[in-house]
Amino acid sequence: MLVASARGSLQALNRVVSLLRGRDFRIASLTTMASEASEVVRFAIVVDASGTRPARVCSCLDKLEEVWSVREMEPADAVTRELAVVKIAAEAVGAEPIASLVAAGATRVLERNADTAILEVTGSSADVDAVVRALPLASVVEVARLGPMVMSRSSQPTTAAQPPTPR
Amino acid sequence: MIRTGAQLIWESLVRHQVSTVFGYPGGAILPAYDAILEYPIHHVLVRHEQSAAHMADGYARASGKVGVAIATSGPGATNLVTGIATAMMDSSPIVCITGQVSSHVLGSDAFQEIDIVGITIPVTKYNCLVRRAEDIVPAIDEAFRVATSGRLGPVLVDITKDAQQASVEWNAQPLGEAEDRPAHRHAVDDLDRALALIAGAKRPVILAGRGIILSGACEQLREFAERTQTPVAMTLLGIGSLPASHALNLGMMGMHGEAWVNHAIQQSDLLLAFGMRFDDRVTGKPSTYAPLARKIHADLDPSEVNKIIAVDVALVGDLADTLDQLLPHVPRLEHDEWLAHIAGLKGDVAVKDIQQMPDEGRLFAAHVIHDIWRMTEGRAVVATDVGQHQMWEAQYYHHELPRSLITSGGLGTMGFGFPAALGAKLARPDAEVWAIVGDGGFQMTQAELATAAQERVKVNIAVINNGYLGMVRQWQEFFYGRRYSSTPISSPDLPALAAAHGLRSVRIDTRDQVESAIRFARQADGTVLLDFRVEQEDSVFPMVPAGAALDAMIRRVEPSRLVETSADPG
Repeated sequence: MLVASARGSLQALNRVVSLLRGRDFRIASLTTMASEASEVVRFAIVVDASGTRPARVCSCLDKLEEVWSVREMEPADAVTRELAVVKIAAEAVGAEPIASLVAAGATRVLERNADTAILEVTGSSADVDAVVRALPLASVVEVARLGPMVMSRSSQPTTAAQPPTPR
Repeated sequence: MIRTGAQLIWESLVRHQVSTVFGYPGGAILPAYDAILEYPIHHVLVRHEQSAAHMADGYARASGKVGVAIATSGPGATNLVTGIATAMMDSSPIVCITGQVSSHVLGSDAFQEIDIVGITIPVTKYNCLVRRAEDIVPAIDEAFRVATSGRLGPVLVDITKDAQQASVEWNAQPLGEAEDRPAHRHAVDDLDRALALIAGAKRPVILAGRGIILSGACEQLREFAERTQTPVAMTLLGIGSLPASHALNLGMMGMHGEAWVNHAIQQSDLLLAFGMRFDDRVTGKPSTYAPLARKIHADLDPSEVNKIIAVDVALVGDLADTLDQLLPHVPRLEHDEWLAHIAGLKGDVAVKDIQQMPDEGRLFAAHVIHDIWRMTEGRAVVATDVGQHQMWEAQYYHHELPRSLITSGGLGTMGFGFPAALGAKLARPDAEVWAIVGDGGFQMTQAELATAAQERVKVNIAVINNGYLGMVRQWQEFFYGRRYSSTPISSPDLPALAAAHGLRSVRIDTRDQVESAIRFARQADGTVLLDFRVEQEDSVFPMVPAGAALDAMIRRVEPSRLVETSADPG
């Protein structure tokens, strides 16, 4: 898992995505997050290490002018959180297994109308995977997942929130 | 004082000590072209924007300064792209300034609107769109900072027409003195491990890349090589980092490197990769590359470390700084046995004085380039195009000086050589500048003959004219059963073409005409075109087929009238 901070602009996002694509890196997910500062955006990038060395992705990202800091994070050093919302057929809400998932707090119903309901799932990526997999496929209308958000457990900020001194 | 955005472009460039720019006007950059008349900057009007980027690149490579190219929006900007990519691949610092449609019509598919910032993201270190006059100076300052810091490269600044037309209050501030960049201090452990490998090696080879020239580390390289008696192999872009006449200079490695150089690398027990990036044209099949060697990689760019070849020690930082930190601890070493072994590797092929080789009335490119080298004593600035002549140049022109071979190594851009030579000459008017080009590549940018004539620039053009796209033909000969698909190429009457531009020229068909033609070109005022009608189906040897091991070279089948090597007898 790589975490980066960058200038909060479409240009920066464009350049990051262009690099990941152009270098043919194998990327499992890319999450873009707002930060405490409006001019700073954060990225969480999950690298498929079976085909790409995370260290190389890191060193390539670090060369981009708009990327202010980038680091590799071990899962043990960070809290990872993901959000998913799932639209399901309304009649499935009261039935198993969804009723049990709601009762256990694994998901909650955000909204419900005559035809459909929207569930919210939060947790680690594994937690979200487990809940989404448990939903009856026939009742699922659509799934939207935000991707993992990452924050280091240390007392220091996860990534720098300002540009470095000129390189 | 009040300045328009257009004026601020030139104010900025003057502050950065830019005296020459290469460009082509158009609607979206018209305000800037109107304003340039008030500034002490010479504008070279190119005949195609691609050439503007190549000229800026040649200017930068020859001088070490930033080259500047200017273009209008839309097609003017997109025409720059090949030149920008060429500069990106070879770490050449250029700044491109493009006009853009006015900000109120951005995104509306206005006439000559194109998203050049989006297009050039992969081929620039940095780029930006400027919409306000007050942002122009900071953007250009940033462009120069980025282009010249870290690993050098191109930057593009796209400026809307209304930003150029707007007026703002501006107080000229002198540029701050460039701060001394603190040398990166390598970890003692890394230095110690490197020193231990150096001290223990029996068969070391230095791989010298362009990073040596860019970091100004040529003297440190020489000192390191001499102190440790380590032979030095050159990448194409590293040529010139150690004089060709130096006893430890082996010559070029790689796909068309000297056979003994590739053998030495494959047999070495320690590779010292200085400012190079293990390009595939250098390594051959990576899994078979230098299997016996430990590897030390010293380079500025951490993303190059372990990219192609896994190394034992990485020293990431400016190469001159790195060598300055290593040298005080490097012992004096002898490698007589190893050097003698390499000399033996040369034995069977290091023929040979090509001056003495018979030509039977034919003209070979090797003879031509050898004679240009001999008559210029290896001290000219030579810009090449891409292809067979480029490899022959690297083999037969023995460069004595850094920044004297200007060639597109990474991208391999045909059409680069001639405009790059013009840029080099404008950067270094006192230097003798040659463009050695093929008949294919030259025709891609031959329109710049008009630029040479209009600017009264003096370069000597040697067209190695074999009537083929020679390198592609060679691949077709070796790997496609001699099916010469679309490689025979006709040319216009090049001397007549030169004459049409008011330039002098000579056609050369035989060996005995070569020397007098070179002498004529060197002595004449103005650009001279030499049309060398060389052997049509000659090939570059040795050759490592793509994907083969570095020492699995295709060699000439039998002793040839041409030599396999650039070495002189000795």
